[in-house]
Amino acid sequence: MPIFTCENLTKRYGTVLALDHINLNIEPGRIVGLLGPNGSGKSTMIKLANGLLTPTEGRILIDGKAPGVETKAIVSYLPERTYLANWMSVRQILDYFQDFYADFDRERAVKMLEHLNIAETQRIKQMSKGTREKVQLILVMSRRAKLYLLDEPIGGVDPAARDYILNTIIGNYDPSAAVIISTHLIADVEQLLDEVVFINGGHIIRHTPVDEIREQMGMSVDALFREEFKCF
Amino acid sequence: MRWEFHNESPIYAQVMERVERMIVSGALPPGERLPSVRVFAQEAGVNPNTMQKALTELERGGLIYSQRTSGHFVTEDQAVIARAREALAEMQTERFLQSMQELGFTSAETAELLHRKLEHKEEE
Amino acid sequence: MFLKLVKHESHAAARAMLPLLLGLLAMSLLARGSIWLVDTVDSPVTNVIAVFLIGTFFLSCAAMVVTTMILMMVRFAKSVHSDEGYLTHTLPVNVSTILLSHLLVSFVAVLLSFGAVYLGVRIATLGVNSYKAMGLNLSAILNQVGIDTGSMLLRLGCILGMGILVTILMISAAISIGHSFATGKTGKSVLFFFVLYFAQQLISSVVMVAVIAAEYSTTGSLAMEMDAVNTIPSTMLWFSMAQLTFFGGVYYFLTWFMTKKHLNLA
Repeated sequence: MPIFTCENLTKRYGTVLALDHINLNIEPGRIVGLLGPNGSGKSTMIKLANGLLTPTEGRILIDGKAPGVETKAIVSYLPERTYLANWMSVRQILDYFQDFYADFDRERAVKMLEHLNIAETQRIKQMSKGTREKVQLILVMSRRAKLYLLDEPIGGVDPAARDYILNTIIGNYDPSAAVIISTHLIADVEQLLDEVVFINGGHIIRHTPVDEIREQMGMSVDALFREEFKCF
Repeated sequence: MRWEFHNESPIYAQVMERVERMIVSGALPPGERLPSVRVFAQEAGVNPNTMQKALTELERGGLIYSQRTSGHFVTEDQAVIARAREALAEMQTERFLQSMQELGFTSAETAELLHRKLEHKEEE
Repeated sequence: MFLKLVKHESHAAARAMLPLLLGLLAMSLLARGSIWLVDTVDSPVTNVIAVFLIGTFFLSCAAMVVTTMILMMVRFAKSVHSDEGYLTHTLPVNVSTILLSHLLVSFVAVLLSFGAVYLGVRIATLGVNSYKAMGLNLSAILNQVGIDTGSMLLRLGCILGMGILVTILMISAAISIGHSFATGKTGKSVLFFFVLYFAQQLISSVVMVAVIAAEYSTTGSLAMEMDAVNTIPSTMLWFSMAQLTFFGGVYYFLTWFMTKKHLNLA
């Protein structure tokens, strides 16, 4: 059974159609790139999956259920924004995650934080933006979730941080879980992906395994993306 | 250090080639145990599924073998390694000839150039 | 999950409230000192300073409750309707559980601020005789006109408690409506606060007039006006409580609906 399903999923903001009758299935055990230019509907789809927005039409299902308390317990979400309260210390945030998420593996988080030399007494407001993003990723990847939804995890970070982030994703996701990474920086995540979903103007214009693109078209996903989204 | 990949062939095929080279060159000696799929994938900066696929393919070719509980090992069969070495060399030569052709060199010209280079190298 | 939310929310609220409480405590001590100064030293300079300090203390008392309310509502806006909302709303918890935990913590915080004001006044007037005399007199006066101080305090307490709850819910509703817009979230929250406030005033005035008019037209007189002093608070109490319950319910629904269906995190 797919872990993530969209059926005729439509989202309208006033007169703007952000997602237009989308159908999509993602199977467990896959790392999927949700690729599209800015404003293509990627974030909207991820917000819908998290129940932060409600669909105008159609439905979105996580493990067969509409977003709600049950799905939130199995979805680990990394938003574009930093959502940690400034005044909290790392320890308080670990407590928070441990309290609310039954699948949170504190030991794993602590190990990764130690590796980055982040003390548990450190407060969020004392951290640089880059460190905050890493802490957030560590928290998200320390859950043994069934579905990881990562919204622009490498937007605006330096190459070293990017490698750290990608390694953290590879090193921590459960092989039986699915990972959906939304990004417009395709070259950076390409070697991580099993499948790609190209999205533009609220439509899915391609959903293919990466190997197929390389084998049959002899080009990278990045090159294909550039070709399909060429600006005339 | 993440491995570099080019765009023409699937990542798993490139991972396979990379591991083959490591075995043929002795960087991974016969009988050596490979890192776990996840660690190896992390080292390469690729999806664990991709690493798994590459290792499965290599196993099919006999270059590595797996033991159910303890992971993957490099074969101790020298004949298999020699064959792989042979195949890699052949592929490398093939690539070289292909690009020479693209540059407009005839077979004779290529052979001549190659000769000269090799002689030069021996003199050193 | 509700208790966990309350635990974390209390922690955050306590952090915000602590400086406020300490400030009020300091002010009340200063005020007590000032009273002592007036009593012992008789110079125009010390008198001016003392009166200024005592005045500031009473101003702080008034500000205490309002500031607490504002702090709690800022917490609500932050954790439910801005960046922190990305975490709050992805917890495996219902929207209603989140809202109720905020309501409970805010309510307790406001009650605590009243308590702090009471304590502050007691500290400031510690051992001052006139205060004690005044308190006793008030009770005596009320008793003389036939009002039982205990039951009146209870009634006032009910109205006050309900009033606090409804105010919290009204501001929550205004914030939830204001933050469903893409821009000008804070401005629109304030605007909707006034919209709701005036709507409530208007509706309750109309209802009040209607009730009185209905009573007048059926009985030809105003029972409320004629009846003994004792019955006024009772009739008024039930009437006010019913009204407040109604408005509280409406505001809760508005808050829930806007948060659940029209969440718009930047």
